[in-house]
Amino acid sequence: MTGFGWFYRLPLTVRVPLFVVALMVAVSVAISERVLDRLSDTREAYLQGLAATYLDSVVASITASVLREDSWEIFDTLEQMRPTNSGIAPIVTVVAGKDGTVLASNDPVRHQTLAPLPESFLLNFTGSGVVIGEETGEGYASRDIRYQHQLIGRIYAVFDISLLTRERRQVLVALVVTNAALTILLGFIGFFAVRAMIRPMQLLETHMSEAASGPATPIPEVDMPKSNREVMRMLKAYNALVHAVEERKSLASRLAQEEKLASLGRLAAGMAHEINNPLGGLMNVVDTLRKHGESESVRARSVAILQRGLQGIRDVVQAALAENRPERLERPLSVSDLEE
Amino acid sequence: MPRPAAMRLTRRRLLAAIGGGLAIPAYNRRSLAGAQPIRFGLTPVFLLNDLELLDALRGYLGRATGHEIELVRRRTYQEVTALLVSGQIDAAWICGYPYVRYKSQLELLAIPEWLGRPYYQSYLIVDSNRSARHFTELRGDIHAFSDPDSNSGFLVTRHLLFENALEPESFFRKTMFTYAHRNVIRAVASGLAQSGSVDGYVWEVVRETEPELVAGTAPLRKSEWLGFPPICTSKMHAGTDSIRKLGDAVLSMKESLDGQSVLAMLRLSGFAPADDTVFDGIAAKYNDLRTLL
Repeated sequence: MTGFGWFYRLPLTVRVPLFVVALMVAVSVAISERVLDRLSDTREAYLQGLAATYLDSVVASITASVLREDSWEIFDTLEQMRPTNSGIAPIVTVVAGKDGTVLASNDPVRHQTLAPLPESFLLNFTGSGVVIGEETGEGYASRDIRYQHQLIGRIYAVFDISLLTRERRQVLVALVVTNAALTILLGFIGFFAVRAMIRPMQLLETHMSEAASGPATPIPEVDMPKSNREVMRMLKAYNALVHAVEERKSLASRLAQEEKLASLGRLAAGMAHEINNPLGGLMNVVDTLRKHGESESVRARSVAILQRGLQGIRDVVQAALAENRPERLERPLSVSDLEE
Repeated sequence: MPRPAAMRLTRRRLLAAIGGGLAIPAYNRRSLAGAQPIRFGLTPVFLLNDLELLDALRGYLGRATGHEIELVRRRTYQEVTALLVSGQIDAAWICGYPYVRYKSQLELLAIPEWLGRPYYQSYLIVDSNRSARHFTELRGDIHAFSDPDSNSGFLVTRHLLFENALEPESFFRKTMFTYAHRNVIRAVASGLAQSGSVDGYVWEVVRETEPELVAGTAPLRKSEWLGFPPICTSKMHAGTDSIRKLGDAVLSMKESLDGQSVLAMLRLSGFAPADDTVFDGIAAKYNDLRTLL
């Protein structure tokens, strides 16, 4: 089957019409063969009938003359019985006696009276009925002439059947022309039909290719073939798929946004907690300073606490800054990140 | 106008049928019909297939004699001669040879004149492409005769062979009778026969009327001038009123317009009165061959 590989590589728009053409050629060959066969049969039957009628009538007219070996009478009868209006006319009629020599013919120059019939001539009359010589365009028929059950001679007739051959050729030409025209027409119809049929597929293919490399866009309603329900279902399914993908994508980005906000909230809450923790003590120290600031020792202790407290807050802020600075966000993960 | 002609014919047939139906005796019927018809026999001397000529001949003779003319045609000379000799026909245009042969029972009425004389020739014809110059070169031919009772179409050639001590059966490979001079021309022209014996007058007339048929043949030998086929009656009819009228009508043919048109069709110049000596040539040949035929 590898021999047909090239065929399957062809686009569908070519493959289907090619297939149609091949099918049509096969059908027309089969039909032509049958028609010519029938024509041949009819032609042969017609010729057989014609030859039989001619030979019957000639034999009936000349039997007495053959018995008398009256060459003139035979010749005169053959001349009178030569059909003038038939397309298939006997061109040569030879009457031979029982010894095989010519008694008379309608062409005495070619077949002289008393001359023996040449082998080459007799060879044409091999079968019963009319023998058709396709290459010569002639039909050959012969018949015994009998009188009271005794053989007294034989008649040979050569018919011009070129009319029949010509008719056969005309029929063949008509068949070939008609079939060729039909085949070409059907090939074209096949090509356009397949192209029309696969145009929605190409539309789909284009959109899918675009979706692979960029944003998936739904097929616009106007481009859809409304009359083709199967294709409509397929294209609508594609559009549904595109919509579903779009929805999922937007849901994911909303979720990511919310996640970001949530982590920001947690960070803010953590920082607030870290800052708020020392704030209570520091507020107490500020209160102590306001009440007992005159005392050196109180003042010194309070300043030390304040300093420690503020130091802690600064550490928290610095840590948060270090953690969330934009340039820091973009750097790759380091060992220190893991240690933290 | 074919219709009135057909009606006339029908009326005549009807009268005949009525006559027949009344069972009137034959002689009465004849007297009712007027003059007794003259039965005139024709041998295939000339162009019997020329129906126009036969109509003209019948018309002329009928008008000139006042009798209805019944043209009797047969395939062979013998049949017509037999009818004439036995008195079944009143007169006939026969060949000089049967006339000479049955002279004792026949009487000459008139002799046609061709080219101004009551004579004609017999031709030995061959294919026009043949180079033969002498009749002896025809040995081994298939030869076409016209009729065994024809002078020009048989007797002359038969006598020629006799003079040269030859027999037609051995001299010619095969002989055939075509029973018409025109057929002899056809046989030779088609190649069926290689030579033929034909009436020179017929050959010359056919050369004029059907040049394409004669073109394939050429005369190899022309005989001496011999008596033209005459018009005869049987001794038993000779001298009757109708035969006398017929003889007069034939002899005076060139004096009337319709007679002239018949003569023109026949390519004859007229008719000469009976003269037995015209047939001396044929009689001599017949006498030579009398014991052989």
